[in-house]
Amino acid sequence: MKARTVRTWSAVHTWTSLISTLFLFLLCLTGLPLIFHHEIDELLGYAPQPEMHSGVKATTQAIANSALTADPGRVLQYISWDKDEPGIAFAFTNSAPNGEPDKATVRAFDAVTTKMLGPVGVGPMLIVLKLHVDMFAGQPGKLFLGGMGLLFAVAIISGVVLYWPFTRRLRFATIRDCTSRRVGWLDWHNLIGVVTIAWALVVGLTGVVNTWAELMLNQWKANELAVMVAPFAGKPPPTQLASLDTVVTRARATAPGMDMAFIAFPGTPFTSSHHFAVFMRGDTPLTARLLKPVLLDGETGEVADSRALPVYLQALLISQPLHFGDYGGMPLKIIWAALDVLTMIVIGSGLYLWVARRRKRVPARPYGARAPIPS
Amino acid sequence: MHGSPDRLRPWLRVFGVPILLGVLTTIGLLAALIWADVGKYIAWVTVGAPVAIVGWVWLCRRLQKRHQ
Repeated sequence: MKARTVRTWSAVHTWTSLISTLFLFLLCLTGLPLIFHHEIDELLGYAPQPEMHSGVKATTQAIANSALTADPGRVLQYISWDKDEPGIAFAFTNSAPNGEPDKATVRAFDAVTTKMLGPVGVGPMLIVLKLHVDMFAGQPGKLFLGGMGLLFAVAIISGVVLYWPFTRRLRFATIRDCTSRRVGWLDWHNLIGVVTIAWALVVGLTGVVNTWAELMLNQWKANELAVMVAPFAGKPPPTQLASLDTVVTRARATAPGMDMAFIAFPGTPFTSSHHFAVFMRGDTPLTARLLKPVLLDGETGEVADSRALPVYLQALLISQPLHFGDYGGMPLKIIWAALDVLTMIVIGSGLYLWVARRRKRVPARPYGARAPIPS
Repeated sequence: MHGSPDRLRPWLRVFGVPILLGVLTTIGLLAALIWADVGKYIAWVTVGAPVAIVGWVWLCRRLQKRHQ
């Protein structure tokens, strides 16, 4: 590799890393507890527990009534069910169907007795989550962090290119920490960086895809959903909502063999102003992520349409577990945490190498490079 | 490159292990998603492999330094 090529890639690696360093640190630091958010919430007493572990489940309408009684004067946006917590139903209430997501209140209800079990998504983990997702800066903050994720991907790819001139005369996993502290850290930076490439790219890029969730949802509403509700154009928002039990029975009949993931009430971001949307999921790990919406008339509960989600939304749904690492039991979560710490070491050592190189004014010189690389 | 073994060998020596680990990690990440029951065991081994390698190198360096 020519010295000029190395210099160019080195500049790309240095600057993409430096610009994103602070934010990547924030993402890794906040991401670490988020891997175990369920366990931490449980430990701190913020995870609602069902009263009854067995028994006949209450109707969806009964859950909705209980949720509205718990939050008088507000309206229901969604009712959802977690595959891993069959004894609980979650209700989202807000000041209006299209109220801001930040203003929504999420409460857990016992799926059998409909008793309110407590609020969800509160406590210290909410602060950590907000820092990780958008730094309390809403959609612009989210897109900004997505941009940092893209810089991270460029830093990884340029790092792979630079791995060749820096290590081509060395055996794999050589650590020359007896030579100097800087060279030792350079070797650790190269080793840890190169063995974690696939994981870092997957977690980084799926994180970037997640920052586009709202944009993708708007795209779906403007295109696919608009086509689905076109025959009902001009229908006003329902004055009297259909019984949820009718809605649920018909949605189940339309998607046999599938379970309900969540119901979106008319006027919420996940449906039209006139229709309920019941999002159904399969029962295998993969199909459980691929939701299928069933649209039903908000007043009569009649099925209007049902189509699979477009590829980009399916990609978003599949990218989520690949970012969270929550789909392979506790051992995978621990590995996720270890890889997160290793990523922080790569970022930290990269910053140290840049500072040390500038301080000494001696450029790091790859093996075989004809000219030293200016810092 | 051009398929010549002399040119291929250093390239493989440098990138062989990283490529293998990258492929294994990707297989593990997808295996747990597609076949939850068996797949998660594959994921533990293959996604955990980079962590194990870094841990192993660190341990070897510690032991070598102690003997020096």
